Amino acid sequence: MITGKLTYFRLVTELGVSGVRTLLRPSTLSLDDTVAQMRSIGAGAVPTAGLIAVTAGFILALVLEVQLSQVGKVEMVPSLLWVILTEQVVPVGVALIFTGRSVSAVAAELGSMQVSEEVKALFTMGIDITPYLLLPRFLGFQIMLPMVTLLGIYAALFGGWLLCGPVLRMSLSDYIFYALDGSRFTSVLVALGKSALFGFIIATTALYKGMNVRHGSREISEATTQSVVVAVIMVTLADAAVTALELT
Amino acid sequence: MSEVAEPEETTGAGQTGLPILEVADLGLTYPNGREVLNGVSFQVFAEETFVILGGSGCGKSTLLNILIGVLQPSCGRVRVTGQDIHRLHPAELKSIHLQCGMLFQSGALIESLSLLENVGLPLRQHYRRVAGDVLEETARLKLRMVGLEDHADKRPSGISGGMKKRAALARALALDPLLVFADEPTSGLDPVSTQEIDDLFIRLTRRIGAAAVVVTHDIASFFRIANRAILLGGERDGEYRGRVIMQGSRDDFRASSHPAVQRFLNTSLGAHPLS
Ligand SMILES: Nc1ncnc2c1ncn2[C@@H]1O[C@H](COP(=O)(O)OP(=O)(O)OP(=O)(O)O)[C@@H](O)[C@H]1O
Ligand SMILES: [Mg+2]
Repeated sequence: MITGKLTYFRLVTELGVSGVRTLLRPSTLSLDDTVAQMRSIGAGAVPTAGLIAVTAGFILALVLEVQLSQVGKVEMVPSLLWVILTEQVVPVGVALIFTGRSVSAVAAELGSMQVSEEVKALFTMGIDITPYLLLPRFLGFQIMLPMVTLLGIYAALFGGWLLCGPVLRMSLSDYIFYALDGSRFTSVLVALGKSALFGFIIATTALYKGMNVRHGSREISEATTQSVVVAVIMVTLADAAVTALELT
Repeated sequence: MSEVAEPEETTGAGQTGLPILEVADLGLTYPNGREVLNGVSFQVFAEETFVILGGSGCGKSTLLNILIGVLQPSCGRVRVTGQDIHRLHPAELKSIHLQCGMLFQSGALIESLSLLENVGLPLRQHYRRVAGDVLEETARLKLRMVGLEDHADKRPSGISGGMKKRAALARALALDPLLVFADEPTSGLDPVSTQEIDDLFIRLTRRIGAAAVVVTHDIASFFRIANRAILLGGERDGEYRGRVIMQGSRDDFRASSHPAVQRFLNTSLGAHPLS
């Protein structure tokens, strides 16, 4: 793990073992570190995610309104918005925002810790790398991605209302009524399930690419780029797979 | 050259009893087929300073990585206080690590922590039940030993190379280890700072009674700190590549007529005029 290659399988196993150990003895995990990671990975993404979600909701509402008004079905705009935003746009969108902001940052940070021998130093001080270094970052993604996704859903729906309100003359309560009318509440569960999966994918990608840097700053920049590319591809593929499974 | 902390006094005394570190017939070939070490053997006894000499790229850092259990050797054994560290369970290796301090070539201070937190890290790891402020006070004391008490709250990125090495030394000695490893503790420093670090290193390891294994290619440092040393062969040494060319005390090295030893001492002495 320190000098040899860390396989993806080994990484996931270590995270799992260390996670279970933490549940049994919470003192092994540094709470301060975990909170700090949740703050920098998750809370830091809230403004960007919020802004993009509101904009996306607004634009999607605009497109739907233009299309549906031609067939006289504008009252369907809110419920369509709900399904599309909640199940598709927001989970993927927030995962991609996390990827752009934090996957690269975490991969670069761990990579430079490898190059500057900080990881080796921790190991020789008798400190377990997984609970000290990896688990807090993993939890930062895994916990915060679903939470920010939830916020993003509200923000995107609000963005939709910013259009529906003035253009369709809908009050907020009418809008919510139409949005929830005939739509499934399970959409939110689907969204949370998806974002938990995406959180796992991008977190492990960042850790895997970062920890496998060995020497040289060139390797750090390569690992950073690769982590983002791989995370984006994996999230897109996973989304396609889950959606296909869900609809069949 | 001023001779501070003349190390000779402890030589004989140190070599009685069992060795703290025992290296036997160590060999390493990297996965890409590059053979770096071959049949390296030596022993380090309590309270002595053992130096590993060698030119750039001859495998000194590789050897040190094997000694601290970060790298698995292709063959041979490393025993620390009698235990083969490459055959230990991770928990047992951890307890060995707590008896060893390691000073890395680049310092390897954790960038996200202050100097005080860096020095406190091994303390907090080891003394889980001791109150936080007691540990902090201990860490502060360790920083004072290396003269950095005024910089306790600075981050590693905000201090000079020499200060980094001193902070790393404080961290390596935080648990009063039996054995200290140092990878080129003075590389990248000017001659005056080099001497300061050497003196500090010797004074502090002597004070806690630790044995030290120091990697260096700086001959001036070698003559200042070593009780005994080995010279590792590099690319230029033909059949000795990756092998121990010579083992002995400083005087043995001075007196040696071995061409490879002569070459190493003379070229390096040209760069560091010594009396
Ligand atoms: N992971 C690796 N895979 C293959 N070869 C390596 C690896 N690490 C180091 N080497 C090679 O092994 C040799 C010894 O490297 P090492 O870093 O141990 O030398 P060194 O004596 O510490 O050098 P320096 O004085 O420059 O620090 C070098 O030629 C290096 O290129
Ligand atoms: Mg080296």
